[in-house]
Amino acid sequence: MRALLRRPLVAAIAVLLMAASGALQATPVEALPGGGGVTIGKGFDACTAPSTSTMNAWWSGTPWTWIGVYIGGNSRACSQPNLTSSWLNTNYSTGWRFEFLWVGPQAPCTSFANRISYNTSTAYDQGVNNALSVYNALVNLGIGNNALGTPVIYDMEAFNTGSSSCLAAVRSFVNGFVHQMHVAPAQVAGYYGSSCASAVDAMATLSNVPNHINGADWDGNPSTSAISCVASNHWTQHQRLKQYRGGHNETWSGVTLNIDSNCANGPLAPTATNWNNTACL
Amino acid sequence: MNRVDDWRRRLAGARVLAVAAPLLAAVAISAYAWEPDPASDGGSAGGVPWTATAGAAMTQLAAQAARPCSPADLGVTVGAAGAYRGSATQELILTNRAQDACFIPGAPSTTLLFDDGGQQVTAPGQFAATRIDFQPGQSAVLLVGAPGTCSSADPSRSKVATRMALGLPVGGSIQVQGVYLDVQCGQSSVVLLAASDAPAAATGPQSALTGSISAPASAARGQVYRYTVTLANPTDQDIPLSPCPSYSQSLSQPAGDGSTGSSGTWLLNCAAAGAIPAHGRVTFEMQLSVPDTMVAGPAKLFWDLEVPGGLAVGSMVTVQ
Repeated sequence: MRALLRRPLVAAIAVLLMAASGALQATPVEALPGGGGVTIGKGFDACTAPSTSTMNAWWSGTPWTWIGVYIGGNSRACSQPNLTSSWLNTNYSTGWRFEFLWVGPQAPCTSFANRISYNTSTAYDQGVNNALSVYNALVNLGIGNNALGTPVIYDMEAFNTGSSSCLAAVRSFVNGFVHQMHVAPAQVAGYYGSSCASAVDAMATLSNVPNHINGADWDGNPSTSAISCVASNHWTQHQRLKQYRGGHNETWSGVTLNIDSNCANGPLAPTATNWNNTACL
Repeated sequence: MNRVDDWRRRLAGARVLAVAAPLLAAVAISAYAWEPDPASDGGSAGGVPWTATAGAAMTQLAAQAARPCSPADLGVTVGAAGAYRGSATQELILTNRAQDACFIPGAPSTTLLFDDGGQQVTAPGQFAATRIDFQPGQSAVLLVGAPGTCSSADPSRSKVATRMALGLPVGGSIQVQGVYLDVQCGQSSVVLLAASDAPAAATGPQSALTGSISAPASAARGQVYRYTVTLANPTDQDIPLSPCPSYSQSLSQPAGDGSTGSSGTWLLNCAAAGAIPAHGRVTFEMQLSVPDTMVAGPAKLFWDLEVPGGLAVGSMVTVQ
């Protein structure tokens, strides 16, 4: 119940503070409608959201239809000077769709600077708190309708899945994260990681199962049906994305980016588009 | 084959169509007689008619710096310790503080420095020869990383670098304080080296134009597709369409690792419009041919003015 009440309380305090400072007059134009929809097509992710001019260069005459954007978290690797409400709105108007990624604390059995607790109760609370931070980030980015239904994926990098205590902590964290993401106004909670080394399939048996996954499986096969270590009967209802190729340079319209290649057969923000890309199925 | 070349090759046939189609469509266009519309600021009810005059795309040659960067040229900002592509990472932002352009021929030679006096030389990874040309004020992100996982990973085994030294080929090094990179799981390497956009090229009045696209939701294969683009002038001065700017337009669909569709670069109908009035707007009729080879489904309609920082607008269209 504490977690259920936290979000309205945070929102109410924020509104009061904004009103007191006169900030309500400066409320940004809605960046995107809230919500998501199943997109079938290819997308890429880059550590830093590219400039709008680069996004334009990568739109026309390319296979790309959506972009993975790192919206926050205390383990986000790259700063995001371009990521604003205006950036989202402009690129959405062009036709881009978005995979929002959150990179918070990582597994406790890793060397990352920010880690989940081995204590599963604490780990659960960390997951809840990260979901609350996701919500606040979405609102601050100007996502409409209180970000209702907006898909966001938690980025959990590889860890030693053979460590039962480490795996238990990660599962508890994800359980808390998904639980809180589903508190009204609910978002759509996803889980990204190395399809084998982030124990993606182990999240299928949580009490709060992620709505969708993005499995990093750099086998070059864009098919979301073929993700190593993920059972074929899990996340079968347009609930899969796949990162099928890791870091490499590509040049379109004379502009080079270092990207990962992805296919979607699952939810992206803010609306659905079926690009008829059967290779992604 | 370069993918851009592949795209261009695919479009070569379509461009023939794009050139031919306007001639075929000329009869249809003649029905769009343009007359001044007193209710607007220089446009017309149907807009300024489209004309089939080939234009020229802007060349986007990356400016090559004439000299290598020295340590004095590059400012370094320490970013976040993060997680990326399986590595624990430390972000560094390199910025050219000099008054002229300079370059680095690849990732700087990076040495991690530990509080116990130890050092570790970072492998350049795939970025050993990634040349970065820095215009004055331009930045690049350097992610230095180390494996984030290993079977023995444990906070009690941390081996954390708190400083780095970045060496440049011209000699000397840049000392960086306040970093955090734990190398307990293995050898450090450069995970990413990428330049941000160069500062905007010199712009003229036409770069200030804003605008919008108005396009029918569907386009029929084998037919001419018509839409409009409205150019708006938010400034206090008229913006003359002289020199007459080009624009590029395309209708494309992803296909495999490339795309299919139609594109072309044309001159605006400047003779008819003359200028975009201060705080006014002018609507231009546009058209392109929809190749028979496109498939039923969504397509990307895109239009951009070929001036530095020029207006770019797009829309989703359903091909039928």
